[in-house]
Amino acid sequence: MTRALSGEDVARRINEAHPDTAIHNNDTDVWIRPAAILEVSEFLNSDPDLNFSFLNAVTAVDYVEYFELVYHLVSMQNNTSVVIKSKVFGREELSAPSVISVWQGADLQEREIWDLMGIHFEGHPNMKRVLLWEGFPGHPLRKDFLE
Amino acid sequence: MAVKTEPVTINLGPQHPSTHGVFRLRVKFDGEVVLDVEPVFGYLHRGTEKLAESRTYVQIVTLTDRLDYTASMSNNLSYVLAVEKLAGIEAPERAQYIRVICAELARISSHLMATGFLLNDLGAFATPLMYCFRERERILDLFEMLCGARITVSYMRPGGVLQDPPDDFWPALTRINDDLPQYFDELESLITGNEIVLARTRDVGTISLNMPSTPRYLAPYFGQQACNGMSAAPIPMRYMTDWTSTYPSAPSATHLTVTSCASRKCARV
Repeated sequence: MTRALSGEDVARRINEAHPDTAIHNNDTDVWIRPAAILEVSEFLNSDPDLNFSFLNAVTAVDYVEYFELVYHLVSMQNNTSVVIKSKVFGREELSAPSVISVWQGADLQEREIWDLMGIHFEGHPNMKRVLLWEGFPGHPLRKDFLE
Repeated sequence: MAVKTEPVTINLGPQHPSTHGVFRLRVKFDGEVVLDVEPVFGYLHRGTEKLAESRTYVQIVTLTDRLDYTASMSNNLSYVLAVEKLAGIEAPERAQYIRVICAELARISSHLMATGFLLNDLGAFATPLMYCFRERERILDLFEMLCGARITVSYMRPGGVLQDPPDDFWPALTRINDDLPQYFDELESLITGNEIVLARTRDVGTISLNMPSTPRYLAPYFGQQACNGMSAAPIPMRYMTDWTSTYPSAPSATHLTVTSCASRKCARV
């Protein structure tokens, strides 16, 4: 079975490589600063020990006070996993760095997050709606979007 | 003199292997050369998460049936586990074992369906599919005993399951358990080694373990695949380890690794 790495351990390694980017952790998850998403992703992907070459899924959750981006990472070589999270505060004109340059599999899921949650990914080459049509008012998976 | 050409955009579809009208490709051609492909989808999106916002935790179980109606038990399970984790509830041990049995039965029936339809799509019309469905029907009969429904079961609940299996469930389960291995032998003799199956599947769509070079894949491709010596499926199966520690004779969790005929052993619940 895939072994979940300790959040504390991964946070420490992230901070060793990029100081003050991992701000919080629990048993399995690490919270990082949104501005550091890309550099931390590059580190997690390229670090020979961690080797998180596979992005299992990226999604977002609306906690009303903030949005949380959730990255499920797997190392196929080590058979380990970790969850990276990042809080994005605000409701209007939200943006976060795209990780498509690290894991191309993020392509459609980042577009889905933009479509349904309204978080714009900077650096994504094709950042447009994926399920709904252009011009659809609002982002329907937000908690304040009512039918 | 070279023929002057210009790119033309054509819609391929709406086509989908299983249903019409849910998926199309917008393809840019130059002559017969494909320059660009853009998938256009979303017509079947049911907004399950949004529907869930206005329902109670128990009502949402019925929505999870429909996420993948060939694996409704498994979808029930992952949802109720999430609710239990949030609420700090632990289901009784008996319910946990019943859940694993159900999820495994659902998995077997899904594999049967996948195998049957694979052969159907390879041109072996209906016959192997009916072989697969014959056993799948018996699993659906078991689900019917549990809850009255065969496909959209809604059998699991946060905190347990709908009800205890009826008395005649257990002997029926044992009979299926005894029959499946020889059934898989039969199915395997039809498929493995078949020249047409090999010609159309071997070395098709190979995925390198070296992700950076083939990165456009997401989880389901790897859910059950054995990749060069990797000893377990990437998707954790909760309780599977409890199961093996409680019943030492039960198959070990590593049987989740599917390699050709080793998949037969998966079927032993």
